[in-house]
Amino acid sequence: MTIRFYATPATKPTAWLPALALLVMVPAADAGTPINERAAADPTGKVEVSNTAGSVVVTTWPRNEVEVTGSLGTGAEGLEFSSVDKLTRVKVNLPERSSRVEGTSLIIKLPAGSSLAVNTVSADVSAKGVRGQQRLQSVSGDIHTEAAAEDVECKTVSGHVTVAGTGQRGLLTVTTVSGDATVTSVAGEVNGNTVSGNFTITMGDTSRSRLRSTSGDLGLKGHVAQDARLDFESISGDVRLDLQGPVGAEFEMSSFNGQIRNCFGPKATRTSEYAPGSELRFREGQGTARVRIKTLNGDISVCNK
Amino acid sequence: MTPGRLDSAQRLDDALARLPGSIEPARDLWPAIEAQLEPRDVRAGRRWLWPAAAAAVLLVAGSSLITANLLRREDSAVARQLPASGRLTYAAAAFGPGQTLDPTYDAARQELARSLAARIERLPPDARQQLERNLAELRRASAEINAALELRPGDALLEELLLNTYQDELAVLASVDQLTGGNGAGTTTDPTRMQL
Amino acid sequence: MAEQGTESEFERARRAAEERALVESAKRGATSAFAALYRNHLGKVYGLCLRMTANPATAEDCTQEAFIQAWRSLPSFESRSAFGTWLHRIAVNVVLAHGRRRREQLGTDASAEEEAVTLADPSVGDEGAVLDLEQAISRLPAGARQALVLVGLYGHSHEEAAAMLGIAVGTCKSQLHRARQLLGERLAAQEAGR
Repeated sequence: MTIRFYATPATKPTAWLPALALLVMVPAADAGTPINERAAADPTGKVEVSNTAGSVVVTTWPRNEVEVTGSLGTGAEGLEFSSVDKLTRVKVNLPERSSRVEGTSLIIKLPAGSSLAVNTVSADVSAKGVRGQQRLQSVSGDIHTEAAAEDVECKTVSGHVTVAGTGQRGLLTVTTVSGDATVTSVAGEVNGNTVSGNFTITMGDTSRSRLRSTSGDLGLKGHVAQDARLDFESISGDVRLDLQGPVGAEFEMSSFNGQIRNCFGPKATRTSEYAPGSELRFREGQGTARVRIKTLNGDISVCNK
Repeated sequence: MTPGRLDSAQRLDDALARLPGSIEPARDLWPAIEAQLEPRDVRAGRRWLWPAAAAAVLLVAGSSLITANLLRREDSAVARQLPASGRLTYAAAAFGPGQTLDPTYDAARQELARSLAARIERLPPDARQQLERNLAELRRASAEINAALELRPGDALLEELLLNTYQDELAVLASVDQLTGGNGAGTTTDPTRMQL
Repeated sequence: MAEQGTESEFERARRAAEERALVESAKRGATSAFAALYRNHLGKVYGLCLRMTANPATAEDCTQEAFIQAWRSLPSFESRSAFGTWLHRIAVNVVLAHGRRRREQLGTDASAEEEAVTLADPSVGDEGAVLDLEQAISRLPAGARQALVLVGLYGHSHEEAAAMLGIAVGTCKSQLHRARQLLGERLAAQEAGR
């Protein structure tokens, strides 16, 4: 059950109750009202954060608690903070009618095993050390996080997404409309969808990857893992693979209007002598990986560096 | 005709009879022929096409998975027209010449667009412009692929790209629907007064 | 010709029905149906063009053009007549038109070309080789060659061949006779040389 408190800055209550706690900050009459709240939390519980504008910075610590610090932006109505059972909620409330709202800065510490869900409109999101599931969404804010063993999903309209791998195999899904995405050394499965954003993936032990774009460019760098399944598709964006190390894979590439450039030797052939369409299928090395690339207009380039 | 000449004539006839009627050309002539086959404007009769993987259209909030049933299209020109920028209006989704996507898909698309029309107004202006620009980009892409399919009907690459483009459009609509509603972010504030 | 074989009535009827369906479908714009018609008739059309032009590259061009024209004219094709015959007619027109354009470009006299080739000379062709009938046909004068191909190889009637070639029936018979005579002389010369 949620109980909301309102208090003056001078008599700010701090309640700290295991398994049942609620705190809400004072109305932000003044600019930059500091936030300092903490509640006990399940080490594998879920933390939900909602902040329209400003920033959300999440780190982990060895305590079974969630701590929220930062400063409430001018015009914000207050902070809603509750921790019930395994769910901790942190929500910046904005008034129904407000002439101007400034961003709220939230700094959150939580148990590493927590799962995290963050929703913002323009607030940037940064998360580090989270090992549970992550659902990070923003309309125009940027998202930075690390990918661990659990599912990580990052979704924006125009915000840029940056994800760094930690060596653990999980599932990463990045969806943007126009935002760019940079993914580095993520093990496991990496899926991406964008309309006009540019996606650059530096492979870790990536066993499976499916990237799709309408006009954004798709770039893949690194070593193709044995048995990897890589599927890339773009309507008008270019697809570029800069591969490292020995390559053992079967390649299948086709483009309706784009050029296919292959540094491994075999050249693309026209699917029709007088009409558009090129394709190229070849095997390089002894491996069992499979790489499929399809475009309408985008150029395809596969090279080893 | 003397017997010798009869024999000669008979042998010639026999030799002519043994000649093959069909001779295959040294190269494949079809691509050059196909490239010059002008499409016909087919308006007569009903033409139903069911792809091998036909299935019902699914729309789940946040889902990006659809498959297509292909139905007759009344007027290909209508489906190729892009709606005016800045408005979430959609013509029937074309799928190559003579076909459209299942009306269930179109209904879902229209419904989502209507639901989003109000929510999109709540987005900050920059984000709204980005979104509308990119939705227009998706529609432009589907129009381009449909135009290519007019020249190369049934092309597997084009059909796959087109289907995925429609999937992506629906996914974008669903994503924005999720981002702008039901999660508390930016929904409790009068967007006309919100400056971010 | 060699491929007519022993097809049963049933098989012929079935193929005819299939072809009618393909033609109807192609009329409505199905390029896949037209592709099937192409595959079914390519060999004969190309064979016809090759033997009439005696030049493989020209024959390929004429074959392509014939199918393209067939596609364009298909809406006006009436299924009463055989599609193959109709297609051959188009192919012959294409070959003749090509020949006319070529003569215009080269400024050659058709009659001079007709007399240019004689086959009685044993030095023409391979010494001691089995009569290469295809080669011999290719060396016939154009008019004689065309009449022989249409009537002698592809079984068109004199009336049909004359209509396709745009000549009188009597002229077509005369050209056919000349073709057979020249080939017969070649055959006799070959045998005499052994």
